[in-house]
Amino acid sequence: MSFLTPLYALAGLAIAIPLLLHLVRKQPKKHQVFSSLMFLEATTPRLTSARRIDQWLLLLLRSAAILFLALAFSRPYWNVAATHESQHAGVSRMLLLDVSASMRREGVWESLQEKANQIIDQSGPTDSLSIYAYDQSLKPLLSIDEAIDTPLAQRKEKSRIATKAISPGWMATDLGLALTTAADLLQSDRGAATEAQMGVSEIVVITDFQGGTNLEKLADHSWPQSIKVRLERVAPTSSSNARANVVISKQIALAPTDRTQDGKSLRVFVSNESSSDNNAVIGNESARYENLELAWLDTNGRPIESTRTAAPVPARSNLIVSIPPPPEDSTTLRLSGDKATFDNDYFIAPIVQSELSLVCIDDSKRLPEDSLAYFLKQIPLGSLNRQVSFIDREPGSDLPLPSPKETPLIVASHFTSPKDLQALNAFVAQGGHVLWVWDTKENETSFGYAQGLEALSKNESKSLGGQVSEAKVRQYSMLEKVDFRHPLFADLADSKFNDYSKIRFWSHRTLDLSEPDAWQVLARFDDRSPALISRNQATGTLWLMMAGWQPSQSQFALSSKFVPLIAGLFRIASPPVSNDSSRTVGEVVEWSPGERIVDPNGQPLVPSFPEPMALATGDAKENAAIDGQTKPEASAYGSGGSSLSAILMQPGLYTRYDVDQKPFRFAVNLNDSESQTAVAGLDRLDQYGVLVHDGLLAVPNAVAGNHLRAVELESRQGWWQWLVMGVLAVIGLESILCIGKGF
Amino acid sequence: MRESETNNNRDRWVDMSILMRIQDLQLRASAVVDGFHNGLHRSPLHGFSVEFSEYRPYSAGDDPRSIDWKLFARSDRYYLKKFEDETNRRCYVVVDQSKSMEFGSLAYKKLDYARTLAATLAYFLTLQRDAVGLLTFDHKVVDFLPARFRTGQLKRILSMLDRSPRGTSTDISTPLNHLAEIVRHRSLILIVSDFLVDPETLRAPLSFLRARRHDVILLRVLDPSEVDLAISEPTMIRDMESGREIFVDPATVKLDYETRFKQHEQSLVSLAGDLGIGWTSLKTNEPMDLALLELLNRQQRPNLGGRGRGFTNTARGRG
Repeated sequence: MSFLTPLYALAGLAIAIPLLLHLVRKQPKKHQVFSSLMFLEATTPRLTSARRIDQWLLLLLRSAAILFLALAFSRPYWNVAATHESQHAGVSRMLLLDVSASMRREGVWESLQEKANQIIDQSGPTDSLSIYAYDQSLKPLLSIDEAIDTPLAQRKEKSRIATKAISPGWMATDLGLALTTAADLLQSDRGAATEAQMGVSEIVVITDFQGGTNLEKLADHSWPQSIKVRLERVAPTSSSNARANVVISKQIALAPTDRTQDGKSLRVFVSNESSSDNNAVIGNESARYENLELAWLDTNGRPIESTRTAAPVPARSNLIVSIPPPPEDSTTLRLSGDKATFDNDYFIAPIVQSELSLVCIDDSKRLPEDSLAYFLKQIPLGSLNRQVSFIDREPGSDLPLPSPKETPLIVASHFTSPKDLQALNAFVAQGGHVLWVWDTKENETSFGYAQGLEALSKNESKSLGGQVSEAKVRQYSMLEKVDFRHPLFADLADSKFNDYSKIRFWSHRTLDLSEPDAWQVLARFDDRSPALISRNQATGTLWLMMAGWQPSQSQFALSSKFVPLIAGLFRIASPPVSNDSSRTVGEVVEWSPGERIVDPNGQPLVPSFPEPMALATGDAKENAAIDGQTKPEASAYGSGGSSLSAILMQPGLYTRYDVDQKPFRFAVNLNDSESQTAVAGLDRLDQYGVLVHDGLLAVPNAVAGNHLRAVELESRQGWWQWLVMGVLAVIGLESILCIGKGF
Repeated sequence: MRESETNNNRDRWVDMSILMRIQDLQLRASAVVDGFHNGLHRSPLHGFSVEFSEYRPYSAGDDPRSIDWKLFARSDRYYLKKFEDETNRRCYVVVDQSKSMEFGSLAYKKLDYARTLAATLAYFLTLQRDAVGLLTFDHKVVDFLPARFRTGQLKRILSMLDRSPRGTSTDISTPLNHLAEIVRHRSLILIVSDFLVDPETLRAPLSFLRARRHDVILLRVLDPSEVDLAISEPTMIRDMESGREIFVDPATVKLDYETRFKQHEQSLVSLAGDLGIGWTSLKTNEPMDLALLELLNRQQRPNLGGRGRGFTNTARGRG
């Protein structure tokens, strides 16, 4: 039995009061006058035995009430022996080491190691010290479980080894995620042990705490009161106030269009992130300012050409500089002259445009407004990294169809002949996509749509056909039951865009499918007949549309949905080559099993997913949260389930080799936020309610720890409540007794 | 025998608690005396004195010796000729007004009872045409009224008795010595007190009175709770006169008290017997007729100054 506030127990001495009162009560309270005392002699006060028993009971009750009250105030608790008393008695401290790219600045990493060792040395012998590294995610170097399981004597040594084993990476800093994850880990660890057993929890973050640190995750996390955060800031040795970091923003990425439009110059975004009044100047030798130099590097890493234009870059300001475009073989733009060199290089991958085509089988003699091809031609399917040409093809042409790699999508009209349909069947079998539009009544075609379907599914095990009839449309039909989960419609699923009621169809065909399960219905007309259906056939896909989009048939071609839907269809049909030429470190890159990606050092990328990462314990969801990345969910419609993925760990030029070993290069650059090296204020953490304490490492001593444990034990056992109840009961009993005796 | 007679008489007597509610002292006294007379069936006990007092019609039971035959001769009716019985006899009622007399466990105090008793005696004696005087005292003489038989004497006595006392302690010997000095004629002296003093202190003044041929009757007035110590639980008891306070547990003290009380009374009784003094002890809840009876007894005694131990009230055993 122990007491939280033992001094209150002194109030127990107050039992002297009822004792005294009882003694006083022994004096007769009655006074009487008498005529004469000549026959009386004084009696020594003495109690009769019967009265004494009564009063003893009362005295006992009253004393008990006071004792209970004094005990309740002194907050008693049973000192339950903690199982991990010796292991858990100290501070549960978690060391978070910033390994983001900005830690590569000169002197920063050394001070981090030094500080980490200091903290390891200052830790008490019973403290458990776990070490995690963080950038965009949290990685355990010495997890909480390992730290606790390590014998006390080896803890410090093991911590030092774990600290030495890491080096800064190239990722951005997400301190918000790191803190919330660390807090969750500490709290989940407390789940088993009580707070009292765990003692005090402290997270020590060693970081440069530069301005680009992302803290947004803290916004939707209520910081637990029991966990204190201490921020140890490390500064670069040469920084003082002579630092000017330069960012070359990827927003002005070099695109061929830029080169062609203006063959002379390229705009570059330069920002001076100096924390003090440290002005810089580009392209000019000046003794007063920091001199920056912007130059392209050749393949050997030597600067080719410096910028001639001189421009001042004041501290904490941005500047857009025009520079000549890079030479053909140059992939790196370097801004040198500042003290922090880790973000000097900006990589540019030469953009390779793939050339694709869209084939439309339609009768060219038709009036433009009556043909499908006319409207298809208007759609801008090309982009930065692909060029799409439109090919008209006459029905019944003898020309061979192009391969699906060059022509992902073929649009067929009602003019399509049985011969064409055979070719299209082969095309689908090769992996191509065919959109067959039944854009007129069946009797106007050279053959029935049903026969056409038979022809398209010639080498299928079952017949795909069905009854085709012209729908009886009163005025117009509309689309309904649009499958917004399908990738084709997914982009337009938002409530702002998903209104299809304005597209009116003047006529359409009704297809009564003999094998409805073989098809996927993406949209229906309002008479419930299918409007757009698709079917995966071999590696290709067959799409069927039951109405035309030309104005004589419907309002579809003129609607705002036409371009995105056809573009979406083309995108789905196009080979899934990711030819995004500019990426950021920390992003997830995906590739299909036949491909491979080689990093700047020439090493092939090792797929990270779906192997478990980071923590040895916990479920996959938790792992994903800890790593700060979520694996792109495999779509029910796509083929993403079989793709491989990895996190891009370093900047530079990566090369992707597709199935045909055709190389494609893409550049991976540092996250811009890493270059914002101005030191952020602690108030940013305070805004999110994180309990930051600064200054000397305040190691809570054993007494404080014991006190906390005692508080916890006491509040959990809550003896005082029972004691107060006891007081009430005793007082009640005493009152009843008094009333009964007529006191 | 006498006990049963007393009980029978008591039924006739006035209830003291009712009597004491009467505010007027004279009314109170007359109520007692009239009741007493009724009980005596008109027995005026006229003495054989030389002085003519009055004529009274004869009634059956009257002594035929008192019939005035001459008047019978004149008027042919039987008249008794009454004479002033000892018209020169003087009576002094001495009332103790000390603090101890203010004690009372009933609705009234001992002093109230004593005053009523004094008034009753005075009224009774006045009716008998005796000269009545009054002396009140505490530790000294408070009031003194010489004995006279005249109009207004009773009223003066009663108004004197009505005065509120201011005494503290009791000293009986001083007033008695004083009385013995100033009263020359042989008198009847009725001393009403609780006599809560050492009996030996009374011996000298009473002897002095007796030596001067005075007839003395001691009328002791006691509260019932004084007789049998009516205290039920341990109590702090304060002396009314001295203010001294002691703790008393009746369970242990009662027997001792009663023994000592009886001893004290016994010595008072023997003192009265020794000196030939009348003695009556009255409890305040008892009727006053007993005192009147004692008075009559004394008057009827053949020799007033005799040392008749048997005539004292002790024979009634009423403590």
